Amino acid sequence: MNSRCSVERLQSALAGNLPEDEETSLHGHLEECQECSALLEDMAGCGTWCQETASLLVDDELDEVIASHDDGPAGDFAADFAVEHLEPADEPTVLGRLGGYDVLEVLGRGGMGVVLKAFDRDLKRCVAIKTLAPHLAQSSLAKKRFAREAQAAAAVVHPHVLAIHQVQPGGRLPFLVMPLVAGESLAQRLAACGMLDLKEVLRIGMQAAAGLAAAHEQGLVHRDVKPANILLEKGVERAVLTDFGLARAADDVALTRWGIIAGTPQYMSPEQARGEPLDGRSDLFSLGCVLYETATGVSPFRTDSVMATLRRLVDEAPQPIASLNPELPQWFIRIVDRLLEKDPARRFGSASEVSELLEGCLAHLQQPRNVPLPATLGKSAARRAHSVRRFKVPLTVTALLGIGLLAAFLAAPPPDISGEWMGDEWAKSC
Amino acid sequence: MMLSPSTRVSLLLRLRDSRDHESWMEFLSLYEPVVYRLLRRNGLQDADAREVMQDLFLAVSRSIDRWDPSKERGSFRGWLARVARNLVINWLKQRGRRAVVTGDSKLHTMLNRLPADGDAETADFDQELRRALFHRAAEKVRREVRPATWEAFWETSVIGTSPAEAARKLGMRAGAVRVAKCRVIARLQATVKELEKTE
Repeated sequence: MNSRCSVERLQSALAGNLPEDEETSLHGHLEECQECSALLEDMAGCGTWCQETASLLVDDELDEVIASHDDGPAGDFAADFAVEHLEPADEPTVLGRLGGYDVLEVLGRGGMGVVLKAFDRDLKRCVAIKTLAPHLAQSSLAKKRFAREAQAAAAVVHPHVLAIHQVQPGGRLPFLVMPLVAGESLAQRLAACGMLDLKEVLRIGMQAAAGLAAAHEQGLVHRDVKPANILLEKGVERAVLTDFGLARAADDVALTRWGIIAGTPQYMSPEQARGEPLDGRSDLFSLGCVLYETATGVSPFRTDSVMATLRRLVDEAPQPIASLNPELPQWFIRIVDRLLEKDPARRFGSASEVSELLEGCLAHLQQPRNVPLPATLGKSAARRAHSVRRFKVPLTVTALLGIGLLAAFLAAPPPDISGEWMGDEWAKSC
Repeated sequence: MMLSPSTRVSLLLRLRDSRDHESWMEFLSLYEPVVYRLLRRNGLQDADAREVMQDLFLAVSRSIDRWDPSKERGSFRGWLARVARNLVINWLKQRGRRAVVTGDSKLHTMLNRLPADGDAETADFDQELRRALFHRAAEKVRREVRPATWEAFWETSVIGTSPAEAARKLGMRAGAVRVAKCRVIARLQATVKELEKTE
């Protein structure tokens, strides 16, 4: 060590406190002086730290795997899935066989299940097969729930509920067989179009609610109503609900095992987010979220984190619909707001009520002169009315109402209809 | 003791706009990558890992009502870290045995049972957590130093290039590369220690 070396100087260099000229001269010195270099490394803790730092900061094999599979080609997953869960098939176009079906491709996958496109040799048709997610299939409890829920869902026969052809509860991977729908999900439609026009919103809402009503009659709660679970058939104006009760198969396992919930928090009802017992009114809240999003292009409770979403679901009102799409009528906003009531008792009483209401609204929208808005809208609005302007400008309203609505208006019980339907708010909305 | 749903909610609400809420967000940002990597390492595919991860963090969030500031020593943050560590390690163990656990008390056990130090799952968790800690510290230090300083460190320490070679590559003097490397290492150390104290 020569005279130019000093511990203090090296310390200052480590801290970045050396004046520039001294720093430069130190750089030169270090190139010659092995001792100082070694001392500097020692003082920096290189001996014990360098190796750990390097091994922890460098990308490891797992990083490579994660990077390569993140949104990577579905082919990898399909191949892995086929090898692990399907019986081998001879034909090169077939991924493998599952319970007598030729599996052709993996259509989609989520945390709870995998959807396959398959060919039914006996009936010579293509079908969609939904299997329980492999990680859930390890639990016999999950398998049982899946089978039970799938069988319950199969009992719901309704034009707006996707039929279940067959339930295969046993085997390594339980699955159910459904028709292959030509079309897209509402989620896909929204991704492409942003938002839909009100007639479409009402039609989809009415049909989804009718499907829910059929299931609720059988005591089945969907638990996972969301745009991805509403399929829009190509060519015909028909929306069908899928995945009835299947959320529950995973949900119950998660709940009983870990005391936690599965599902998409974004469309969950507050009672669901709290892990409370549910009835059909929980689905109505989720339907409200779907209507909100379909009409505005914005999901009402979407945030960056699960936790924040849960908190918003439980106690925050979404951004007012009118601020997102000012063209929407007040009556539509009130329907969605009522569906999104935090307290289930303040929502509509049943899915069939909602379906009828939306049907009536759609009829009104298509023929505003001949068909009045459903009178029940007045009742609900009056009951909940907060800042309602009552009995205001009846003449203007009457002028706008048209004869049909006036007739309904007169026929309805006066106290119920006396709400905001008569205010200028209402007039504006038409 | 089971709390009523409204109590649970109010406990969740207590976190809003408070330092606890900040702690929660901080906690998530550190632990999510840790848990994700652990699950992937245990053979879960991307979608499955994300789903399970969400479930596990929901479990932690729902256990917030078990946090009693008057009884627990240390911070909310520290408590969260402890509970998450217990839950994730115990989950991995249970998964290995494919056992079915039912009931709230089991969750309670999973959140509170301290896993043994020598377990493979415990070692994996702690290793991943340390890795995340280093990455976080590295991110912080990288922002604090000049890009050339960081490059010099990365070349020599992580990639393993010799100081002379790195100097040529970066157009610096070898001595400057050495100083840069040591400066970053020293800062990293200090930052990791500081983070360890607050985590």
